Parts: sequence; C-alpha cells; structure tokens
Amino acid sequence: MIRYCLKRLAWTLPTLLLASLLAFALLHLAPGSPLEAASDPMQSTGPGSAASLERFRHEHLLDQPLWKQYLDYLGPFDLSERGHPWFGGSGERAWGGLLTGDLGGEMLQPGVRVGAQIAKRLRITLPLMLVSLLLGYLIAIPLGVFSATRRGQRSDRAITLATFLLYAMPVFWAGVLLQTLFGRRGLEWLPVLWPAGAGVAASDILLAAILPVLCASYAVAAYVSRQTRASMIEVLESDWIRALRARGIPERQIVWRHALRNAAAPLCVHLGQVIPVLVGGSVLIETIFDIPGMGTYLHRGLIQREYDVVTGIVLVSALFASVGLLLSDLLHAALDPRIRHGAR
Amino acid sequence: MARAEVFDHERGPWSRFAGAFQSRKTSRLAWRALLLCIGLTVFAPLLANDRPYFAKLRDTAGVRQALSLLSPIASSFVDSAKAAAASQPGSQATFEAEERALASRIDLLQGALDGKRSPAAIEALAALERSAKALGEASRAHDAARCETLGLELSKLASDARPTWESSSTSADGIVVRRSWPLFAALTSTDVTLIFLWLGLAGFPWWTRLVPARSIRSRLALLLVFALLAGLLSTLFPRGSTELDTSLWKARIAADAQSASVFPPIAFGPSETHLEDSMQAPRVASRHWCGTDALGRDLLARLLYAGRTSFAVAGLAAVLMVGIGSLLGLAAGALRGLTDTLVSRAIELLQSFPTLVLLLGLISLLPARAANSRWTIPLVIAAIGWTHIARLARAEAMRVHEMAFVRAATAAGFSRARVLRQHVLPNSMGPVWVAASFVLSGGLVLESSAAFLGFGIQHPAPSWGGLLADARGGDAWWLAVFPGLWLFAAILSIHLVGEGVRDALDPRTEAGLP
Repeated sequence: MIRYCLKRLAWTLPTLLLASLLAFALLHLAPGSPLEAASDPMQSTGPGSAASLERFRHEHLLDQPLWKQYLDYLGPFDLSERGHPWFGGSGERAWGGLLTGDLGGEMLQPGVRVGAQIAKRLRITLPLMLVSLLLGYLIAIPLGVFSATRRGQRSDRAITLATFLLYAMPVFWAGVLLQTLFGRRGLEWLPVLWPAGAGVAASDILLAAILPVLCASYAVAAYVSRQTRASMIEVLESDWIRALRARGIPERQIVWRHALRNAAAPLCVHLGQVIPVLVGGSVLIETIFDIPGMGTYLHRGLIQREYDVVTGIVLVSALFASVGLLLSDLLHAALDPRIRHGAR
Repeated sequence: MARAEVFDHERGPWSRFAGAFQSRKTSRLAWRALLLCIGLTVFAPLLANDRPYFAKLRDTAGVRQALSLLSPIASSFVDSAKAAAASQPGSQATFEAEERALASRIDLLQGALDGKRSPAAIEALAALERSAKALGEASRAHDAARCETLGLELSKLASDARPTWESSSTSADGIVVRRSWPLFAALTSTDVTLIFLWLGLAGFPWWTRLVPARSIRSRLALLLVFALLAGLLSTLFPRGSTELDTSLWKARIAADAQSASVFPPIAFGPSETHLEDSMQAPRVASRHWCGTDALGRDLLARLLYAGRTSFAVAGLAAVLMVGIGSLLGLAAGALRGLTDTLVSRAIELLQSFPTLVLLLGLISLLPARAANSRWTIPLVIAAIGWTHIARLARAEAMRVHEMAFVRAATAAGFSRARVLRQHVLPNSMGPVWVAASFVLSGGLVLESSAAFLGFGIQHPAPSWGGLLADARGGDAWWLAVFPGLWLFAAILSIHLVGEGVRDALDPRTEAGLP
C-alpha cells in the first residue's frame, strides 16, 4: 500500500512539472503582457511609455528566448542580471524558481511574492472548502441512507427529486439567488459580501461565511447523496444482508454498521472527483461573494495577465486535485481490506 | 393487417430505441421541454425584435435626410470629376465610385417620391441626373473648362433640389407609401436554416409518415438538406435594405401619423437601450414582462437571444467533444500500444486540473476577437472536456475488441480498418451516446460559468451566464431569477433526456427518477 502511495506521488511530480511547462508556454506565447494589459503604450512618457516598457521587459526576462524564461521560472538558478554568477549574473539573488519552492512574483506590484499571497489566501479558501466538503458529506450520507432504506416510498421520491434538481442547479445561479434572497433588497438576514478591510471581528467573518459554505456544499450534498442511495440500494439487496437479517440483527445495526461500511467504498472514489469541482467552484463562489481567497486571486491574475499568479494557482489546484485522488485511494484502502492487501 | 404486429427484432435499432424512449413519460416530457427551450431561442428574431413584421409608411425622415445629403454628394462628385479631367493620378477610380454613388442616390429618391404629387421635385432630380451625365462625359473627355461650368451648374441644381420639393408638396404628401416586411428582410440565412431544422425535428413523427419508408439516417439527411436549401433560397429574396432603410423603425413609425405596423409580441431588440426605463421590475401591465437591466434593455428579449449563444456554444462543444473523445478513445482502446499510452497520459494530465480553472486560463489566452467568437469557445471547451467521453469509449472499445465477433471478422480476413470501422466502432458507441447528453449540459454549464466570470461571448448577446453576472450583489431579483431559470430548465431537460436515452439503450439500469 505504501509502495502504491509512493508510486502515485512519484507520478504527481512529473505531471505537475509538465503542467507548469504547458501553462508557462501557453501564457507566454499568447499576445500581450501584464504591462500592456494595464497601460497604454501610445504614451510617450510615464509608466506606459515605450522606453519603460522595454526596461520592464528586460527586467522580467521577457526579451529572452522562451526556454530561458522557463528555466528561470523552474529554477533552481536565477538567470536574471542579479542572478547566479554561473549564468552571468551578479550573484545577489543566486537561487530561485519553482524547484526552490518559489512561485515567482507579481510583475505589476514588485515585491509581492505569489507563493506568500497564495498561502495567505488559502487560509480563507481552504477552511471554506473543507467545511463545505464536510457539511456536504454530513448531510448527504444520512439523506442517501434514509432514502435507500425507504426505496420507492413517498419520502424517497421527494428526496430523489430534490437532489436531482439541486444537482442540476448551476453553482453561480444558486449563489446569486442566495444573495438576492438574503441581501439588502430581500430578507436582510445575512451579509452577502465578505467584510472588507483588516481587523474584522471573527463573528462577522463567520456570519459572512454562511452563504458561501451553503452555496459550495449543496452541490456536493446532492451529488454524494445520489451516489450513496445508489450504492446503498445495491448493498442492501445482497445476500449477506439477508443473512444478517435472518440472524435477527437489528435493522438499524445492519444499515448503519454493515451496509453503510460496504456502500462507503465507492463514495471514497467520488471524493477524488468532488475536490477538483470544489476548486473550480471556489472561483465562482469567491467572485460572487467577494471573498479575498485563491479564486478571486486567479480571476485578477487572468484579467491582468500576471503569468506567475496564473501558473502558480493552476499548479496549486492541480496539486489539490492529486491530493484528493490520493486521499480517496487511501480512504478506499482503509475501508476495503481487499485493496489494502494488494488485490490491485 | 397481416403485418400489423411487427416483431421487435424486425424493426430497426433506431425505431426500437425511439419506441423505448417514447414509452417513458418523463423522457417524452423532457424531450418536449428541451425542444421548446431550443425552439424559443431559434425563433428569437421572430418573437423579440425592434423591427415590425409589417409596416406601411412614408419615409419622410429618410427622404428629407437623403435630399439634404444630395448637395454634399454632388459637390464631392464635381471635385472628383474635375480631378479626373486634369488626369491626376489615382483620381479615376474615385471619380467612378462617386459617379455611381450619386446616380444611385438620385434613383433612390426618384423611387421614393410620388410622381403625381411632387412633379417639380421629380423634374429637378431629372435635371440633376442629366447634368451629372454631361459632367461625367466632359470629365472623360478631359475637357477641364467645360467641367468647370457644368460643375457650377450641378452644384446649384443639387442645392435647389430640396427647396423645390418642399415648395411643390406639403412635406409627407409627396412621398410614396411603402409596404415592407422589415423583420423578415432582416432574417439571415442561418436563421432560416435553423428555423426549418427545428420545425423538421419537432414535427419529425408527422412529416416522416409522408415520406416512403427509408432509414432514419436518410430522413435526417433529407431534413438537413432541405433546411440548408431553404437557407440558401432565402438569400435570393430581396432583402429590402436600401439606403433609406435605416433600422430605426420605431422612430420612423412614430414620426408618420398615417403609418400602420405589426410588431412582434416582444417589441424590443436584444441591445435596444431605453435609459429612461432602466431597472424596471417585471409587471404584467408593463411592456417589459421580465423587467429591464441597468441600461433599460428588455430582459426577456436578451434572454431569448442569449439562449442562441448558449445553445450554439454548448451544442458545438458537445459535437466536438463526442467526436474527438470517441475517436481518440476508440483508437486507444482498439489499437493499444503507443497510441493507448499517449491518449491515457493525456487524459490523466488533463483530468489532474480543475476543469473551470483550465478553461478560464485558456480563454484568457485568446485574443479579444477570438474570445468573443461562437467558434473558438466551443473549441476550447472541447479541448478540455473530451477526456470523459474518451475514457468511456476506450473502455468499451477494449471490451468489444476482445469479443468473438471481432475475432471472427479478423479471422475472415477483413482489413484492420474495416474491422475497426464496421465492427468495433458501431458496437462501442452505446455508452458514448448516453454520455453525449451529459456532455451537452456540461458544456452549457462550463460556458455559462466562464461567461459569468466575464470570460466569453459578450456580443451581440451574452449567454445566460453573462446575463447572470449583472445580478451579482442581489439588488434586482428579476435579473437573478429569470436567466438562471432558463439555464436550469435547459440543463434539467437535457439531464432527463439523457436518462431516457440511457434507459432506452439499456433497460436493465434503474431509472434515476421513480
């Protein structure tokens, strides 16, 4: 099992490297650069003038061939004028780049490191995502079990219909609807935008987090509860459940201890698919509710064509996705001894 | 009546499939809802438009404007004629273009003025025409002196034309009453093709009875050819757009007291702004049934046109995804070896990214014009989204490829290409067709998500996601509810149709809905 995990991790690294190369090449081959996106090159002086544009391009190696730019981004040597002496630099800042764990810096705001920014913003995004995921599973599993044990009855039909509708509902529509319902033209119960500025009370943040969490978790809940229902129905029909019933074991114990444990294995596989969807959804949800997290950072990076921001976030989200897959494999193995003991 | 009871296996696979699909009430309803959703967007130009179906009016303002422009057009013609007479380099082409412009303008005005009621104006125009002809000849003869005198005369005639007309008739009376069909004239051949395609699809069970028994494929091909032909023929009809045909039909109809017109039920175009009516909540009594946005544009009209964008992008993306995915998947599953490794690694690589993040990244790379195109966005979506179909097709092709009939075909000596095309391909498409509908709704959601974030098509009408972006902040409930409701209805009906297809292809699976 450990070998499998190591193999999996070993496969993640080249994927990420290839991904960084692809993202880098695509971004840099496309026309336009951050400064051009931000300013007017027709000016003769000032920050947008041709001369300062040239200096900007030189400082950020944009006048160098693409492979050199990528090697600079990848590291571990810094290839700029202040970089490693081996490559003709002054040696002021010899090391840098992706391999040293440095995701680069923003071009329009010198001194802002992308890695630090992402870490700071993940402190908002990650708890929101984890809470939504947990909440989604906590709602979904009892709901799915409940509806599977009452298969064909009216309550099962109602739940199935509701989860079907919720599953088809686009996240951004749900977000905008929640905003409209609870916003200042609606019920005015909850804040619909993230409190801006520093030193906001924790209670305000918790209140503001309710709608985004709700918005992120309903889709998870709908999807997982449909899967739980299908999986439970399959398990509850099997022979060994009938055998348990014949031995007089209470129904509650059969459902929650024996059947659910067996039905949960396929659910773990779905965890790996849910996490990338959550990461993508966080861009939408953070934009709707104005949350200063990773999603809004990506949005800004895309609009301003900040190469390092976009590449960095694409890499971090790919890392999340592979961690999710790994996690689902591990959980699957923990629940299913057949996998743990090397049937794979 | 001997063959009234047809055995199941004697009907083709298509009609067996159609029968199984139709036998479920939810699938039937969902198919109709989807057709309605698509139909409303296909018929959008007929349902919501700022042009009337029919209008009967005198084009007073147009004639006035054309007459007032006559003098500058004539003087620039005089200038170019003089330049051509002096044989200045490059002046010949300008001169001929100016000559044609003046002649067509005079023709137009003569057609627009009523000969009986404004004889003086017609006469003035005729004099202008004669003078222009004489000047043209003089210029061609390089007679500079004669050009000078004729030019003076022509300028005077042109500046006198309008006063002559106004004195000879009371303004509107001297103008011919015209009947026109502006809305139909503005339909493009794409619109016509789509309308015929939709009618053919919606009425498929009825019209196919009239056609002698043929395979379903040839009937669909017939429909496609017929619709394309209709679109092609529609270009032959006169478009009726003359220089006097400005598109401000509402203003022209309001200006003429004796006009008659029939407008569509929603008498607004998708980008027609009325700033005085901005942010109106929907009311039955008002003309804006779904309210208006911040610029006073009618939301319902925008919704109808936005649906065209959404469906066009999602449909094209789905076709591309199914095409790319099934081809690559089949190749990987049937050929194995290097192809399989490459395709599988590509799938793994693409699936290791969150789809939306990747999509946003790719769209932001496109130049502004390509990012607003109905052709490039589906390509980008397909480039990311083909993996799901490819995985299904690969697994199925691997399974089918090991089956006895494929081996038998190989053993019979059929070529590799023939075995793949005629035996493996048709037998491994089942799961792909089921997934196709979910891919369609996935494309719809992806495109809308990107448009919601401001990446994607904005003109002439944004997609439903783009419309929803206006609702952020939650100040106007109608902006949030209606676009989302349409999108939701479309996704829902596509999902239900997909479930119907799945059950019809494989009756053993349990339905998702009771």
